[in-house]
This record gives sequence, structure tokens and C-alpha cells, in this order.
Amino acid sequence: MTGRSRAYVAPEPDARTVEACRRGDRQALETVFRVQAPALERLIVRLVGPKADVEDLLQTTLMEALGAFPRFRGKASVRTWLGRIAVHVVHQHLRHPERRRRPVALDLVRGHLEPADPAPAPDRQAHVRRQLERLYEHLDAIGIKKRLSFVLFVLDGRSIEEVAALLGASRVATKSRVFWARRELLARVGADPVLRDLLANREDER
Amino acid sequence: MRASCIRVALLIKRREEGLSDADRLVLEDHLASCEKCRQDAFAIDVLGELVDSAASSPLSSGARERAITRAIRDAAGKPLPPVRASRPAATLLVAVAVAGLGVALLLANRRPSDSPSRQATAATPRPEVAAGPLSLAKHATVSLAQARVSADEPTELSWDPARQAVVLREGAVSVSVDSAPGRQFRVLTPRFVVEVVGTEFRVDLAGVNVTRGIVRVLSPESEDLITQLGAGQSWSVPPAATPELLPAPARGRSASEWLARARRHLAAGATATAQRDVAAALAARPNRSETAEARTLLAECALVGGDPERAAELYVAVSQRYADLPAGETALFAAARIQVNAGHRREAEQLLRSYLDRYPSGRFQQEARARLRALERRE
Repeated sequence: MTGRSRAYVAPEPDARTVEACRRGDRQALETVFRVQAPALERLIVRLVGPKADVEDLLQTTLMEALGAFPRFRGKASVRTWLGRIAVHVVHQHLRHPERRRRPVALDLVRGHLEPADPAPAPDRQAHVRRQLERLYEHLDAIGIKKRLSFVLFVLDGRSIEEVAALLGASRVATKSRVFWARRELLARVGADPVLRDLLANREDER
Repeated sequence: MRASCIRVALLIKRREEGLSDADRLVLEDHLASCEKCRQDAFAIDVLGELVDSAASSPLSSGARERAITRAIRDAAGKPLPPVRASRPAATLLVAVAVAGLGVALLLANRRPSDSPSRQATAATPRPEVAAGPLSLAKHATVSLAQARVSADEPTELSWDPARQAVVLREGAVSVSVDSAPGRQFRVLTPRFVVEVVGTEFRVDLAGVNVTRGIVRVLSPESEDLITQLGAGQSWSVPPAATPELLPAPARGRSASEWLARARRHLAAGATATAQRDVAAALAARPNRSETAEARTLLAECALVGGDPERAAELYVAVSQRYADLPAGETALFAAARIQVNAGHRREAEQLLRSYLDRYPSGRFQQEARARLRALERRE
């Protein structure tokens, strides 16, 4: 398997900064949020897709965190705690179907192409956007809890226990959701000409 | 012995965090000899790469900075009431209220705890309420944990945050509960308990009506399940169990009294008596809204009596005749629900689409969309 690199982990704030955040110190909050925001964005995008409302979801996550900081006891790391809030915000967001069917934002697609291809052709951008749209349409179709369990466990690399805690489910239910989500998603991908082509092309490149 | 594909399915991940060395060995051993799982693992990798690359730099630094600045600025501003709006910014507004409240409380060094008897008046939604009794004026709204509770009439209740429970003593409330993982919300009455996770419903001392999601009705003593209700369904306390709450109506009843009697008989399963009550209600010069309710009750009688086809016909008739009333909306969704449950896909789709066309932001629109999607998936 390819691409098994560990994601960059944002450094944890020291105890004094955390205490200042609990007191509502604006400067401390800004410092922590600036360090943690990129990881939160990545998590949100994995969960919802590169949509136009990623910025809104990030902002909502930060506001929820700001309101909850006085109750943060430091049992988990700030990164884990903020991740939990982001998952909760995304969960709420996905529960409203009218918010789920938004097209993939073109600038976000362009953004993800830039590191590998500084001048992507318009048709290439459109093609990748189509692939992402198709993938997230299939994820939409498999149900919210299965989708979140799958993305957090399989794509984001979290443990079953962590995913279960994040979604308020038992370990057994989480395993079951991951199993069925994976099966349903792969069946859908196999029947989707756009994604089937992607897999075939990558197979040829191997 | 080679591990099964089912076991290995849970070991195939885009990232290897959380896999022990033993699990890695099992996985590699299995993949070496199982073409199907190897293909699946490859597909997961390719899809993961697609997602990862999109997630590598999702927001410009300007957009990120904007989100951080707005979050801190808005939270430091005046707290907003937690109003549920239908547009996508609803979550934002609620979050602003919660965050703003947090900062306001911090700045004010926290007020002393509320007095035992408190009053909430109409149009003054309270962001948070401490434990204890509370009197709500009609239309007053309070936020209790993950729920928004609105009084439909003057209401006496108390809030028990440890049990995440509202104890309803008098009146009627409409409750909207946001789903919170692992957290249940309850409304306790002397005769029954309503238990929910994320849903909308109305409850008074005589019963419960569900607008969205699923509600469980439990016995207050043993907490045995009495019934489970979905959107558009309602339940009333059987008359035998509540003589003091539901006194027998006097002679010369009005249409509304006959209808109340019909509901009680229907809840007890006495459909024939309920139908007679409805006939009496229709003969007692009901207004239009009462007529709609009477005809809806006839449909419910048919449903409880085991004739869903007749019930669906009657619901459709109500929905056509009283489309402008809440009863018409409920009837259309109820008819669709019957067709879904009966496996009549075409009829169900037609009714659900009619519902969404007619009531695009109706009380059951989320349920209708979800059911429609489920039907389309089965296609």
C-alpha cells in the first residue's frame, strides 16, 4: 500500500497558554487556534469534502471551542479535544441534507492540485473535481454515522476506540459501521465509471 | 491459518496508526494471497490519496485567518439567542450564542445561581438554565442542554441537568433536541416518560406528537418501552390509566370534546367507539380545523384497525381538502409513510414528492427527503 505517511501533528500549547484560554484571553486563543486550525481544516475536509462551507465549519468549530474552553480540563490533548468538537460540528452539519449536496468548490480543488501541478489544465481541474464530487456523493449515500466512522477510522487513521468515543457509539457498533461503510462504498465506487477510471489509471501506473 | 477477509477488512486503513505489529503481519500475510482484499486495499489507498490531497491545503491563509478572527470577534460580542434558523447559518448563530454566553459569563465572574422560582416570559429565550423549577409563559423558550424547550401554554416544569430531564408538571411544551453523541434527553410526566436523542416533538400531560426523528415512550416506574413513535405519529395516555387527568366529558359535548374522547378511545384501541365519537364530533358543528382533525382520526382508526390501504385513502383525502392546515400536511406525510411501509415504491415516491413540492420547508421535510433518498437507493 502507498501513502502511509503520518500526518503532521500540531504542537500542544503549554499549560500557561491553556489556562489563559480558559480565562478567555484573546491572544492565547488566537495563538492556539492558529496552530491547530490547519489540522482541523484537514479533518473537516476529509469528513465533508472540499466544499465551500469548510470555512464556516472551521469558524463554528472555533466558536464552539471558545465557548467550551472554560470547561476544558486537560484530560485529552487540545488537538484531540478540538478534533472532537469539529467532528460534532460536522455531524450536526451533515444531518441537514440540504447542506450536503453543495458542489465542490473550484478554488479548493485548484488548491489541492497546486503542489503537484503548478499549472493544472482546466480540464484536469474539472476532472479531479468530478472525482471528488462522485466520491463524496457516494459517502453521502451510505449514511452519516457509517460515513463518519469510515472516514475517521480508515482515512484519518484513528483507532476504533477513539472513533467510538467521538461518535458516542459502542466499539462493536463502530466496527460494524466501518465494515459496512467500506463494503457499500467500494461497491459504489466499482459501479461508478468516473472512479473506476481513476482506479484503472492508477493500477496502470503501478 | 490465513485470517478471514472479514477480519482483515478492519485492518485495511489508509494510515497505519492504531495497528499493532501483529495486525500488520496478519494484514500483509492475507494480502499476499488474497487478490480481492488486495484490490480493496488498493482502492482505499487511491481514494484516500484523493481525499488527502484535497485536504492538504484546504483553505487559503486568508480564509483561515478570517475564520479565526470572526470566531473570536463574534464570541466576544453580544450573546445572541439560540434561534434555530432554516438556512445554513443556523449552526453558526447557535454557536455564536453559546460562545458569546461563555465569554459574557467569564467577564461577569458568573452570577449567583438562579433563585428557586424563576419566570421566563415570551420572546425572551434564555441561553442556559440551572437546575430547579421554572415557570414558562406561553411562547417562552429556554435552552436546556442540547434541547430548546418552548411553552405552548403557561407551563410549570423543572430541569434536572444530571439526568438531562425535564419534569413537566403542568402545561405543554414543544421540544427540539439536537443529537448529541451518547446523550439522551428526557421529558418526565406523572404518567409516562419521553426519551429521545435528536428529534422534535410536542408533549403535554396526556401524550406526545412527533414532528421529526424517533421518540420512545416509557413507563415512568419500570421504564419499560410502551411505544416508539416516528415523525407524524402521536400517542396518548390510555384513558383507564389517567382518570384524574382525562375526566369523562359531560353530556351535550362540543365537537372538540367529542374529538378528545375519540382520541382517548383510539389510543386504547377501541376503534369502533372512536369512530362513533368522530361521527358525533362531525355532527356537533365543528369548525374547519376540527373537521380536518375528525377526518384525520377516521384515517387513524382505519390504520389502527388494520386497514392501511383505507387509511392511506383517507389521509390523502384530508391532505387534498385541508392542504392549508397542519392536519393536511400531517395527513400527506402519513399517507406517504404508509405506502413506504407497505413497499409500494411508486406511490410512496409520488406522495413524498407531493409533500416536498407542497411543503418544501414543512415539519416532515427532512424525513421525507431521507425516505425519498432511501427509495431511490433501492432502485
